[in-house]
Amino acid sequence: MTELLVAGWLALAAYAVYLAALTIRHHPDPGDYLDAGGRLPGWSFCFAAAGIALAALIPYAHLQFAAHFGLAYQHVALGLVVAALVATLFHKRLWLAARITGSRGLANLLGLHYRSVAVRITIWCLTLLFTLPFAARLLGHLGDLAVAALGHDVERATAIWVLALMLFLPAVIGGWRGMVYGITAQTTLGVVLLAMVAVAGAVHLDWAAGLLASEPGNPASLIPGVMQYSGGIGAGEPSAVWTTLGIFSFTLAIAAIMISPAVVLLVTSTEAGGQRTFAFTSVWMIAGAAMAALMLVTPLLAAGLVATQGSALPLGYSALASVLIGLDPLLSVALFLGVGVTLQLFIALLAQSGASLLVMEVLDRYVLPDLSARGRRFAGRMAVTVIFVMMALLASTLPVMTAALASVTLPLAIQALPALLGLCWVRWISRSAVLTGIIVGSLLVIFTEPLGLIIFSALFVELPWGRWPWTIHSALWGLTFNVAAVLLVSIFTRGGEERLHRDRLHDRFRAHHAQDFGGPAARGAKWSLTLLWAFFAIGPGAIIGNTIFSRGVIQAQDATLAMPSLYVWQITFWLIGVFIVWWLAYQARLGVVETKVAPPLDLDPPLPAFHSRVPAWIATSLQRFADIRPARSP
Amino acid sequence: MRADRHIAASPTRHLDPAARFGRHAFVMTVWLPAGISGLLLLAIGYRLLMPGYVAAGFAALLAGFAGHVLINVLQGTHFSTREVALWLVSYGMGIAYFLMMLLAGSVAPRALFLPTVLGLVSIPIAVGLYLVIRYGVRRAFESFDVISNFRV
Repeated sequence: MTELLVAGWLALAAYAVYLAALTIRHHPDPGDYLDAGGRLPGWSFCFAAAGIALAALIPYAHLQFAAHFGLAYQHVALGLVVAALVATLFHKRLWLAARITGSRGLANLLGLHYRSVAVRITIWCLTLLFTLPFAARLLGHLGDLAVAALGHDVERATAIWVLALMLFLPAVIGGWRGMVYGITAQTTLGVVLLAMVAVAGAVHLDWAAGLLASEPGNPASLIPGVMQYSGGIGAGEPSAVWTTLGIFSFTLAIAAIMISPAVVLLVTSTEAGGQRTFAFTSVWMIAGAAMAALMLVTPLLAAGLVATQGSALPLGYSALASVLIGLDPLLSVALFLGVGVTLQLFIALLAQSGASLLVMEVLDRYVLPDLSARGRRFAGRMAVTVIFVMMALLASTLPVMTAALASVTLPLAIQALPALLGLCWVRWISRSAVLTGIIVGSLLVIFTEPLGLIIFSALFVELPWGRWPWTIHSALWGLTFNVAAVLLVSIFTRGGEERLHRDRLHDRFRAHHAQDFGGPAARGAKWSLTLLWAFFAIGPGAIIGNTIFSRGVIQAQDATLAMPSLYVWQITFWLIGVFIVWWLAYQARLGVVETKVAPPLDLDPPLPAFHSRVPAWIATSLQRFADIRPARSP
Repeated sequence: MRADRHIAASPTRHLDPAARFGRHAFVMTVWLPAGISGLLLLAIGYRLLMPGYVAAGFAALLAGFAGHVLINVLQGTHFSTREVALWLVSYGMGIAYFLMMLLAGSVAPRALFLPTVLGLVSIPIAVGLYLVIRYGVRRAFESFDVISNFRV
């Protein structure tokens, strides 16, 4: 199996390099390197976005957790429907905002809209977190996977560096377009291989027996309550983490990937005018195909693994890998490649987007504004190199610190939600409100994740709570206080001159790109159905799904199903979720881009000659430091 | 003028080089998983002597073909000459390999003779169906009517 797996991995790497080389030959314009000139074909966005949504759940880890925690953990797969809803809500408006204002990248868009350097800096920090520790953590996962698959014949660090090199070569050659083309192929490959193993592996894994064995009352097929009043992991350990509130809050973190800087760059660099690209992606690719891979494939595989093992699978890559290696060798190779490519595509996207955004939003805007297109391409290549080296270093030498930093990345990303709502929909959300919300939300996130707990206990005293208190994920802790702060501050700061600036973009949206929510009844139905879905699918109402299809209501006798009641509930609400996303994306036109885009708007007027772009408060602070003189001795 | 009645000889010429490359990447996005999963399933089927896997392997290859047709419809193109040539060579090599194994007296090709032959036959049938649906019976036939090309 080892030779076949290595050959498969090398063949994929060679294909990525081939595609990158072809890209640079057919698109020799250096201006294309960082963002494909904003002309990525729509089909590539469809596949890439679906792959990223799938990769956000890290299929290898998902499989492992589903085989350990059972269907309670499998429930978080519904997070992809939430991700599709978030994509529906924001992608079209972000694309329009980028086209109208002539800017790319999340930091640029938010910075221009709120006229705030602080917002830009916040988004850069977020980009950095995604690009380095988060991607490094994924690279570490990929290294662990390779080590386990190769039977521990190679060192972890060696595996990480070799894999980083394999990902680096196509990135540095092909740029943004080459990388996106590469991940489209990897997305389809990952989904097809996973589906193939689930179906073809039925003989070896006996997943049917695994599912049939999940009779009512089996703890592996039940959600363990709405929430648990425990201090969190590490303090007053909860008996089970995946309560309904645990699931709901975790899905928020998953959905954050759709508004992450990398995905926003993908959105704004796509050619989508007059097309239904965003609607198709949200409905059929993310909520449909990617979700199907998780909803129909992983439970079967997990049930099969449990059936093979005879008990819940212990946590850890070795346990999972040892079961997988015991399968048919060809199936093992297919499964390892399937889960491996989903990790690879995510790492490639984060590294490449980090490099592009660094050059476009920092270097090109503040440091070297007169840089030529060739210079920007060179800078992009240098940035990719530095990012891959640092990523491999972090993954191979500092795994614990990397994991601690990576754990806060997605929950911190969702803290940008109010800022994006302000940019795309709600004009009264002000700069002060956004900043206050981000600060409050981020503090909550950090102090409900290991990063804050470790730092605080090392510096001061041990905090009385652990990770995810009350089984609520840090994303929800942060977002709750974030939204409260935004609402409170917006009450006092919603007007003024700043409001007139924000209104300019929203007036363009209203005049040229109004949505079609229908009459009051249709409008109410759309939002109320979405909220009802959220309550029953991923909220407290999901607890009903534990037994509703198996426990007799009229008769005392339990119904005999071929699968657990909770699994039926999950599939039912997945299908309803697809319908809701379709209704919003197509019928309300949230995902349909008009042929004619609103006229351009200059939110970033040219500065007078000799005027520095450095904001006054930064210049003043630097000046104060520079003016400090040592006290004269008498 | 007769040439335009035949299926276009350079079916992607109207695309600019960048768009042609985009189409190539799209086609590869479909064929990479279809080809790999199809070959893996065929290999598993032959190793375990299970006809279901062999059928699934051919189904994956047919799905790849269907995806390719879909791309052509979406982008207003046809199969390029290189694609047709690659297909013919791969198909011919597949048949040759199967015949060689059969002649060599291997157990697997005999045990899986029916699913393999059905699978191999299903591919030209699918191609024929595609041609008839897209171009009609007459034009589909004319494109293979090499004798008429030599008419003075």
